[in-house]
Parts: sequence; structure tokens; C-alpha cells
Amino acid sequence: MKLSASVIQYAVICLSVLTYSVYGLSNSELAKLALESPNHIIQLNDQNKEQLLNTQREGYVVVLFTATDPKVKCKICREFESEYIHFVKSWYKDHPNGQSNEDKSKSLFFFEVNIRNVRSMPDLIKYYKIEDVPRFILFRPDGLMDDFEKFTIQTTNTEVRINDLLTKIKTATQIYDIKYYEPTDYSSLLWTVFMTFTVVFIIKRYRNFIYSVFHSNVSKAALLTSFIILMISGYMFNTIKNPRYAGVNKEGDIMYFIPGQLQAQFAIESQIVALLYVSFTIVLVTLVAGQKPLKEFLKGEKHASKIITVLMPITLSFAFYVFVAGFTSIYKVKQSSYPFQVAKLSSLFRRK
Amino acid sequence: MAKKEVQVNKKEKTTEKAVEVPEAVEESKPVVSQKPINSSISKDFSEAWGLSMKSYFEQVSEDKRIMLIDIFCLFLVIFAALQCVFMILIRSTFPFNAFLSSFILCVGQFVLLISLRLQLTEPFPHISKSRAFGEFIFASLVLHFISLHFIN
Amino acid sequence: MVEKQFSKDNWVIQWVQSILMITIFITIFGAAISSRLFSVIKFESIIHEFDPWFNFRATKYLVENNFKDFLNWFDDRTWYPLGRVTGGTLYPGLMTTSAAIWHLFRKIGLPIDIRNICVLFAPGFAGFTAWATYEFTKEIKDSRAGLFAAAFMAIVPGYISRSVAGAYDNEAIAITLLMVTFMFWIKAAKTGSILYSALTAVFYFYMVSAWGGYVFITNLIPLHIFILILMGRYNNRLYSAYTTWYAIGTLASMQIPFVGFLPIRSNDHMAALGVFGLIQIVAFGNFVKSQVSSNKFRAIMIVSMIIILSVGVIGLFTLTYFGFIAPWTGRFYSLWDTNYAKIHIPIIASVSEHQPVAWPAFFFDTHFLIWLFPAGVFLLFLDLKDEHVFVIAYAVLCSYFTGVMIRLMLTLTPIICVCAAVALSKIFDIYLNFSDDSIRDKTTGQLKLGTIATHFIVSGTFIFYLFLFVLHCTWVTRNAYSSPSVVLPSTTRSGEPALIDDFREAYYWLRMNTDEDAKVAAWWDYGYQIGGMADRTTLVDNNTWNNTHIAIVGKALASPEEKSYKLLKEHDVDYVLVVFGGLLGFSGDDLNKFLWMIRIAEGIWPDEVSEHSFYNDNNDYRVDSTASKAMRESVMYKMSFQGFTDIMGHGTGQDKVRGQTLQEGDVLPLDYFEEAFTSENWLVRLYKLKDLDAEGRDLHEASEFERANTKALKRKASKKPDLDLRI
Repeated sequence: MKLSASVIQYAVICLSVLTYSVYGLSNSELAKLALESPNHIIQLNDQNKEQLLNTQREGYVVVLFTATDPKVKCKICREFESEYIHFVKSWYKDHPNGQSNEDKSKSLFFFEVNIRNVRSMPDLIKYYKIEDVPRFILFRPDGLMDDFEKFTIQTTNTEVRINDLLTKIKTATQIYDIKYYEPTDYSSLLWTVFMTFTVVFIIKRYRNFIYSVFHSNVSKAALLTSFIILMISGYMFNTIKNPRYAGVNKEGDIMYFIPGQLQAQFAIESQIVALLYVSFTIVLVTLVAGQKPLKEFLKGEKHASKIITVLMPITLSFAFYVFVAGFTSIYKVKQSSYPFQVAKLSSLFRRK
Repeated sequence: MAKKEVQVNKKEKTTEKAVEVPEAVEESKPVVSQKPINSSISKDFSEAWGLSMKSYFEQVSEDKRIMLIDIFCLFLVIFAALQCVFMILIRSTFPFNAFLSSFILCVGQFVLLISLRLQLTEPFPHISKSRAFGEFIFASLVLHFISLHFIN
Repeated sequence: MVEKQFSKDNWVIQWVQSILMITIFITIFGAAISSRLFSVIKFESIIHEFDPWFNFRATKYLVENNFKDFLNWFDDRTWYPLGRVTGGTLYPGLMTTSAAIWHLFRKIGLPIDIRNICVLFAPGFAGFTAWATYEFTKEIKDSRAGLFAAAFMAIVPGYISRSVAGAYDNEAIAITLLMVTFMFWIKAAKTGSILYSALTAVFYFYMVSAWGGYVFITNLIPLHIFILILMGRYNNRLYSAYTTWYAIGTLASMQIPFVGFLPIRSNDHMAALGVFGLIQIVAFGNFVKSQVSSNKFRAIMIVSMIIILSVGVIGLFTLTYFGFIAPWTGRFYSLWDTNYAKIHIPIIASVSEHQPVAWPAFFFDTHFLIWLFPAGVFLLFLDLKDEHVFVIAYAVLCSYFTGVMIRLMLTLTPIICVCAAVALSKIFDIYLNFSDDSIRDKTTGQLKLGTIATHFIVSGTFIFYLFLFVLHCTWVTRNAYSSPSVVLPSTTRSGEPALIDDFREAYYWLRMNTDEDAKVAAWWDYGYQIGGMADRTTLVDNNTWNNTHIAIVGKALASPEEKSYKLLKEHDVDYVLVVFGGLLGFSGDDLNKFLWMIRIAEGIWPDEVSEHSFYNDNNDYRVDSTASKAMRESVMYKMSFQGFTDIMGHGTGQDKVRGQTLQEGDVLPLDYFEEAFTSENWLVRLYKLKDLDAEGRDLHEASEFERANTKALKRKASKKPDLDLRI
């Protein structure tokens, strides 16, 4: 069903495009074309460029050159895509036929050229000498293909991008009744309400328990210690630099650690290292302060004192040794010249 | 907003005594009606004020040294206030460092005196009264030296 | 009974103990100093890196002139044409201390060259840091933990990184002062002694005079007090300790010209003032509390607290709003909002020291201490005394800051040492305890063999880790932190160690062959070195006080020749210095920093410089044939690669840093600049701005004409100037 619908839609577009190419494009025809396209953005490509651009038009046309394909690694393009869609939606919400309400003689339409494959760039890119994306080209009414104006926008964050795009289009087209309506996200609102409700409910139900936890030193200690562990395991690096979660090496295997890099890491490295730090801390704290609680726990047990004074410390120090070995071998991956590896466990992390 | 803060503060106050918790929570309920609490607070306040004034005068009359310290403190407060008023009156902070240094000198001497006074009434462990006095002299000297240097 | 019997022996034991103690301290001192001398042994007694060169120059000025001249020093040889009010914009603590040491040695008949004092300054003070750490940890736990902490502090690489011989930087003395200040503070807070508190203030003053990081103390001590008050642990000792410190410390800190009235004007210092007010109220409340019943007191307390707090906060906001109090400084603000620096102050974000830390760095800098660190904090929490609150607050705050900015690893290191020492000594307290109570059965008096074996195993493993720690520290210090970065280590083809001395070669050339008033434009990293070693006037240097001026240099290097020439001529520049590592494989060269230069210039002139245009069509930063047009036209590119394709002999040049190959026609000729000097390994390249053409032609036309004429002639065999000439 869906397929056939899209085929029909495509056929209609092609047909209409063919018709327009003979007579030039009137506003109503462009508007019709826009309303038929997904998100009201007309996709421009090498096939329809002649028909759409190299004809007499009555309205302004803004073309966005972008590359949203994840392979291109243009993060801004991907971020900007949804904003552009909302921008165009906002325009058509106020002006269903693409015509300005203040100045009826002016109208505005939005095109997009999306680079899907870097190897085979559309000719349009070369034709208009696009050196970077996202980039805009504005075509004036009645102009042909070569009558255009290139412009870029600042890409700091959503607000800056939208404002910049607004002002640049406004100054270039002299159309002033363009507005941007923030997309409302109901799901997050619902989620927040739900979460607040649940949390309040839980707190209400287990008030006494939570109160005692809140006021015990151990829970505070655990909280602050985990904070410290988070910090020393490179969490801030992840939030600031936004590294990849894990990598792939040349053979196509998954890599959990960036080898030979002391100043860079994958996001997953933090989690592994934090886990090791937690283990270190638990072992050490139990070694030092674990005897008393354990005695209480094992009250009445026959070999309680043996377990506490012999078995527990030996097991824990062995566990500590294992963690040390793990840690140093991970570190060896990060710095291959490191000489003080405790045990050679790195083969576990390096897949053949 | 204010009500919430009251609750929070109460909880913090009762940190050590978990037994008092239900009491604290109950107490926070009548806060909704503002008036009675206000009047009771003002009553409490005047009562507390009266009590502390009374015990204070008792304490002062017992020990002449403490009275001396208090008079000196009062003088410093008045002196600092005078400087501020003067600065506001002439509407200029021109030798700002001179003003600052003498103002901070007043404040610093004041807190040093209070520290000494606290130690005289209730000596800290391991610090005798005479050592406290010696330390006070040392700190005052440091303070005055820096202040003099700052005045130019 | 037993005690009486051994009272005489006790006396002996005490003696033995103190002698042991002294021996241990001497050993720690020795270890601290000798592990920092690797750089002197491997290279020579030389000042390192960049900032130390300025400090050294300032110290020389101080030794040659008197203190008053030093404070009023206006330096017209940097930041041309603006100059720099050096005396008022530096922290004089370091220079004053070393000048004092110099005078002292001269008085006792040991005239030592000021350079040697500067080189050996940091190792000497590292010993004192170890001692202060001992005293600090002694207050936190006991002297056993103290000794561990001192030993850790003496050799931990995180601290050595900034205090090797030759690292003559503010941090070298600042960490010592930080620990001494904290030590006195803990003593003051514990005993309430005014004397200790006054000493805290005095050392705080010393710290203010030495390092901008004093703000950390300014906020940490009030935070300690504030948390204690919130926990309901106020007592009169805290009052006398805090108020004395604050009054004397604030007044004293304003004596430093660079700090000036900041302590009462900037928001960084307002927390301390707020807590000062708060503690007065709390002290008063405490007095009232002792007189009236607690129930009534609570009501009064709460109401007054809310009123005072809200008045304080509102007052702070209004004052900030009307400009009486300066808002937080950029560097400070960038700690909280991690994206702030990247957007607003690229100059801060550009410094590699200000990057966030990946996890290996922690291990690299502290080895097994980082495993013990969280456990130490946890264990301190279990018996939460007043002074432990301080350590915990320090640890939590500083671990966050370090996560954001790698340079703050330096301030985190002491507390890692302290916490790790606490954890370790707690383990040894239990498992190295071979006294009768622990290893003999209480009822039968028999030896518990299982327990003894366990104790041996557990303490044995930890002693093994200690041993590893020492090995690690030595290895790291030797390999990573002992390079002066003025002289670079390398190996020859046959594998023998060799030194690359291009920087000094170039600076020496500048010093000998150029006019004394010549102005040199270079990226700011090299400003201090040019000033210190070549003694020539620079446009910008490492004291990045004027962003616009730095952006000018960035713009000049990123622009095409003609524009750049005009800009540089406007600033009277005679020489341009670029650092190029492509031939040698030195990755810290200017082309790698180039993007930051562009970003900084773009921040000021977004219309004229655009970062985008320096990426090629595939959005890559390339230097080979696929480089973008703006890249190839930029002065930086041309200067870096000028003649680069000729030296290999086959018309291509392999850039070893970026791993890209340049073809013969890639590098366009220079029209407005001429090569003046290139160092042995091409690390430093100097270009002279050509004079205006004698025939009044445009320089571009003149060079075109020249090239057309000489086309028939053979090119010079080598573009490299003859090195023998300059002797």
C-alpha cells in the first residue's frame, strides 16, 4: 500500500515537474509541489534541478545543502535537519500556499539537497562550489540557475542557528512575517509527570526507611565516593568531548579501548574503569572495616572467627591482586611501553 | 517557597536526633496559618532576649576583664560605623585603601577580641588563658602591621 | 605496673623513635629532591618550557634592581606596542622568594648564580611540601599515616610533573604553600588557637602572592566551616579560627598589586565573606541558645536564618547587577559550565592544560594511590571528625575540577596522597599488627598461626604494591616529566641518544643577528622564550591578558600574504617566527595549533577569518594537495612548507606529523617575506618582512618579475642558509 502510494506520489511529482518545465513555475504549482513533498521540503537532485531551478519562478527559493547520513559524520547536519523541518513547517503553518501575508507578491519555498554518498557527489555540489555543509543558497524570483546568493549560518546551538537563519532570510528576501514555532515535546513532559508521581509515591510509602538511609553516614559516604569515582574515571571527558561509545579496529573487531592514547578514551572505558575502582574501594573498605559487621552477621556460626580473621582477608587480598592485574593490563593497552604490568591479562582484551 | 525552606531547615536541625523527626513534620503543618506562629515567635523572641540580656549582665559584672573587652568591642563597632557614615557623607571613597584598611582593622580587632573573650569565659582544651592572651597579642600585631602597610 | 617497669626503656624508645623519624625525613627529602634531578642529569641545568622563562627573566630583573623597581616594572619589550605593566600583573611570591634565597646565600658567603637557584628551586620546595603533608595527615589520622603521605607526596608523579628541576613556575612554590596553609588551618580549626589561625592567614597571604589558585583556599575554608555549621557542629573554636583567618587573610591579600581590591569586589571571594557574616550570627545564636530552652530557640533561629540568607543572596545579586561586585572570572566560570570556554573564550580552551582528563592520566600521575583514594575518603567518612569534613570536601571538589581541567591534577594530588595514606595505614594498623592482643588467643595464650599467616599475606601484597609504586614513579619521572621542552631528546639513526637544540639555536641567532629593537611576531606560546632567550620584543606572550592582540597575530598568520604583510607592518614587525615539526615529527608545532589561531581570530573578526574555509571539500584539515584554498594561501602554511618539497630531492615532501605528502607545486612562493633563518632540523623558521620595493612596485609584482628573470637560472642548491656564516 505504502509503496504504491509513494510510487504514485513520485509519478505525480515527476509529471508535474515535466509540465512546469515547459511553462515555468507559478507559485501555486510550487506550493502544490511543496505540499505533496514530505515535510513540505522539496528534495532537489540532479534529475530535477533543471526543471526546478532553471525556470521562471515567482517566489524565492531557499536550498539547504546538507548531509545527514551518519557515514558523512556531519553532526551539525543531523542536528540541524529536524530544526530545518520545523522551520519549514512553521512557515507553511502561517502561509499554507507559501505566500507572505504582509506582501502578497512575495512567496518563499524550501528545497533541500541531501548528500547521501560522499563518493558520488551530486553535480549540484560541484556546480555551486559547495565547500562545506550545512550551507544555503537563495534563488531570487524570476532568476535562473545562475542567479543565486550563498550564505551560511552560525552553528553554535539550536537557538543561534534558527535566529541566524531567520535574520538572513529576512534581510535577503524582505519577507518579515517569518516565525519559528518551537516544537513541543509531550513525551518528555508526560515522562516527567510520571516520574515525579512515582518518586513522590515511593518517598511517601517508605518515608522512614529513606529517612534513615538519608541520615546514615554510610550512604552519604557511598554517594560522595561514587561521585569521586565517577570523576576520576574520566566521566567529565565523556560529557565534554562526547567520544564514541566503542570503536572498531581495522579488522572490523570491536575495540573497547583506544590503544596507545593517554589523552583520549571511548565512553565505555569510563564504565569499565569505574567498575574497577568500585571493586578496589569495596575490597579495601571491607578489609579495614568489615570485621565488625561480619562478626555480627556470622554470630553463632562455628568457624566465624576463622572466616573473619583468615578467610576474608586472604580472599580479599587475592581479589585485590586480580583487580590490580586487570587494571594494569588495561593500562598496558593504553600505553604500550608501560613496563610494570602485574600479570599479562591483556590478551583477554585483545581479540585475535 | 518560604514554607518549604522552613521544612528543609527543620530537617537539617534535627539531623542528629532521628527520634524527633515526626515531631518536626507535625510542627511544620500549622505553618500554613501564618499569624499564630508570628505572634508566638515574637513572644519567644522577646523572652529569649530578656533572658540573655539578664545572664549577660550577670556575666559582665562577675569579671571586669570581660567588661573591658566588651567596651572595646562596642567602641570598635561605633568607630567602624562612623567611618562608613563619613564615607557616605563625603560621597567619595577616594583613599579607598585607607578606608578599607581601617575598616577591616576594626572588624579584625573585633573578631579577635570576641575570640579572646570566648576563650576567657570557656577555655578551649589544651590552650590556657594566658596562652590565649599571648596569641591574641601576636595576631593583633600582625593585623596592625599589615593595616599600617596598607594605609601607606 | 608494666608501664612503670619500662619507664626508663620508654625514654630510650622515644629517642630511637625520634632518630628514626629524623632519618625517615631526611630520606624523604633526599628522595624528593633526587627524583626531580633527572632533567638536570639527562639534559643540563636549564630553565624549562615557557612560563618559567618569564619568571626567570623577572627574577633576574628583581635581582638586578630593587624590590620597589620590580613592583613598578613596566615592560615595553612584550605586547608591542601596548607593553605590559608587569609589576602589577604578576604574582611576585616566586621571584621574591628566590631573590631572598639568592641574597641569603650571598650573605653567608656562597654566591650562587641566580639561574641555578631558579633551576633547583622546585626540588627544594618539594621537600617542604612533603613535610607539610606529614603534618597535615598527622592531624587527620596519626603520624604513621603522616609518614606515608609524606613519602607519597615526595615522589608522586602528579606533583613532580610541575616541580622538576628547571620547572621554575608559580606552581613549584604554590603547592608547598597550599599544603602549609591547609596544615595550619586544620590545626587552627581543631584547637581554636588564634596563633595557628594567624599563621594560616600569613601563609595564605604568601600563597596569594604566589599563585592565582589561591582562590581555591579562599573558597575551601569557608566551605568547610559552612558544612560544619549545617551539620550542627558549630563550636567556639571554629569561630576564633575562621574569623581570625578571614580578617587577617583578606586584609593581607589586598597587599598584592595584582589582587588589589578583588577580595571585596569579585564574586570568587564572596562565599568567604558570606560565611564570615554567617558565623557571627551563629556565634551569637549559640550564645542565646545557651541561655534559653532549645524549642523556643529553634523557632527564632529558623526565622532569622531565612531572613538573613535571603537578604544576603538578594544583596549579592543586586550588587553584582549594578556592577559593584565583579562577576566570576572566565576561568572560574568555565569550570562550572564546561562549554562556556569553548564558546566564549577560545584562548582558554586552546590550552592543552585546560582539557578534560581521560582516565589513564590519573593512573599515570598517581599509580596505586588512585585505587586507594576513594577507599580513603570512604573510611574517613566512617569516623567523621571535623577535620575529616575538610578532607572530604577537598577531595570531592577537587576531583570534579580535575575532571574538567587537567592542570588541576596538581591540586588533587596532595589530597590523593593524604587519603591513600589514611587507607593504607589503616590496613597496616590491622594487618601489620603483630602484638600479643592480635596474634595470641585471649583465653589460652597460644599463637594463632592462621592469623599470622594472613597478616603476612595481606601486608605483603600491599608492600609489593608500594614497591611497584616506587618503580612506577621513577619510570614516569624519568620518561615523561624530565624533558625541558626547550631541548628535545631523540635518537640518532644508529640508536644513540641525541639532543635536538633547534629552539636555542634559533633564539641565539635572533639575539646575535638582529637589531636589538627588532619586533618578532610569533604565536603566544613562544613569547616568553623569545623574551627570555633571544631578548627581542614580542607582540604576544604566554601572559594572555589581551585577547584581541593575540587574535591579531592569529589573523596575520591565517591571512593571505598581502593582507598579513599590511597588518604586520602596522605593528612594526620585523620578523615572523613559526615552529614547524613536519621534517622532524614534532607534533606540537604551529600547524597543529593553527586551528586554534584561526578560531581565536574568528572570534574577533568573523567576517574575515572563517574556520570552515580551512577545511577542504571533504571537511578535512589537510596540508597536502587537497588542502583548501584559504589554507594554501595562508602565511602560516607558506612559511611552514617553504622549500619543503626541495629538500628530499625528488620534488615531494613527507610531513611526518600529519602523515601527508606534498607535491612540488603545492607550496606557493612567498612574495612579501623572505626566509631569514631555518634551524638545523627545520623546527624553527624565521622570516623577515621585505622592505618596500625600491621602484615603488607592489611587492607581489616585484617578486613575479624577479621569478620571471631567474627562471632560466638554476635554483639554489639548498634553501637552507649557511650556518657557519653567523659565527
